[in-house]
Amino acid sequence: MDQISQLPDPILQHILFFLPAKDAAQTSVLSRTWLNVWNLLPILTFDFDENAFIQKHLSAEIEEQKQADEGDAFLNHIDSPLTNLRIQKAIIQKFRLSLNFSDTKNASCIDEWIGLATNNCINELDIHIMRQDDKLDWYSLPGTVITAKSLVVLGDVHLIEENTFTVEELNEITSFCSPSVVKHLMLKDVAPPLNFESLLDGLFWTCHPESLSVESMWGRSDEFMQFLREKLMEKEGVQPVCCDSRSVKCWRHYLKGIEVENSTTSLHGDSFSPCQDISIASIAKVQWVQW
Amino acid sequence: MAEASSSITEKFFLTLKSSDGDEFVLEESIAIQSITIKNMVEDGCSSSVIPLSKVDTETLIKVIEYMKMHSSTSSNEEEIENFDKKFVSNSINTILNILEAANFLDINNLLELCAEAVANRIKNKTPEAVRKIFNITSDFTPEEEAEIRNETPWAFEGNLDHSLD
Repeated sequence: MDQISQLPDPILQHILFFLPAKDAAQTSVLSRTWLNVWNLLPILTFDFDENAFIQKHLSAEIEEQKQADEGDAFLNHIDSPLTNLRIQKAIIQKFRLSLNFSDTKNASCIDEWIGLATNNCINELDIHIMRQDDKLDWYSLPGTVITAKSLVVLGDVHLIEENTFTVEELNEITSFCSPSVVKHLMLKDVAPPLNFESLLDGLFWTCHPESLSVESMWGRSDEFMQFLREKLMEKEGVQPVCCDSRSVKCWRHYLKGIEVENSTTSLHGDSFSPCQDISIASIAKVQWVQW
Repeated sequence: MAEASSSITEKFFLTLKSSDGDEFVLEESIAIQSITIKNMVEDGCSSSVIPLSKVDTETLIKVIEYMKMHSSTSSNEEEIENFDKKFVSNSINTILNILEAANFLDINNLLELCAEAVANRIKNKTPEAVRKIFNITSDFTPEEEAEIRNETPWAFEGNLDHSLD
């Protein structure tokens, strides 16, 4: 037997720890030894919900100060279950984080948790961060979520933001490494001031969603659809045709379906079929659904 | 008081014996970075030679080099960093030997360093390339392999490096 496969399983697992999710998963086909090591990885589910936590720990009548204290307790409550992710690779079925963003000093913690989660193979990533106070700065997703090579999301991604998501900051992100493909990207309650261009740069270019659903765009659904349509059409523009000659394809090649709530423009239904107009071979069908 | 200060300055030495029978004399304070050796010292079984039946001479030399660099009070962070960088550029077989020894001797830093070094040689490679680099023989039938690939299809998409460097 070869030398590396004779190492004890815990050491082989530790080697996987240093690998991005994609590379780690690939080792499963090397041989039975490696498949076994892969199958031995812990399968974890994380569900952190601040409101549920507070309700569980406090009675209905609470003073504000006490609630703030509970918020801090909640942050501590998250940290310890994630400790193992600092030393071990895992397969995460679901990572759900729902909290009230009450203090910008917590941002680095949240960044770290999301980073810890996305270093692993995730089925479903669900981040829900609410801003409590209008005066507060917004929380923006860390670049690592989007750019990390290891961001391989198998199932649904919910990026749910309530008044919290500054997409502007994602502008600086460029990632053309081996693309992560997100099966389904759900945008909900994306609030103004939303810059569509930044959303495109920050999410589409890096997540390569296969399908997209958009809910509650604050009355800007039509505008967003128009914007998307133009962006999809750009493939046939004056520029060299999209990325046909390149091995790494742009987001347009991955997007297969779109659902937008309350879109009333001519984009929905049969009146517009972008796939015919712009001949994107890989887009099987684009549905403009009116909810 | 005098006794206490003398015990601080006095240096104890241990003799480590490789599987090839070569003996190496090493300061105890350096050697006890290995938890295995530390436990032996604390249990009082280190008066004579410590036999390391699982570590060959070539590997033991590397391990001692590492322990000397990482315990020496004179080496600064930059020196250590450069040393580690050079250390992981050893051949993959040497790294695997050291990794095994680090596991046996229970030297955590060294284990981490080598495990990461091995991971870096797997990163961005196709499974075929990884098999070649590490001389791994697949014991799957093509059908079995296809089935496993199907379990995590996302891992096998996109471009990968076919080279063996």
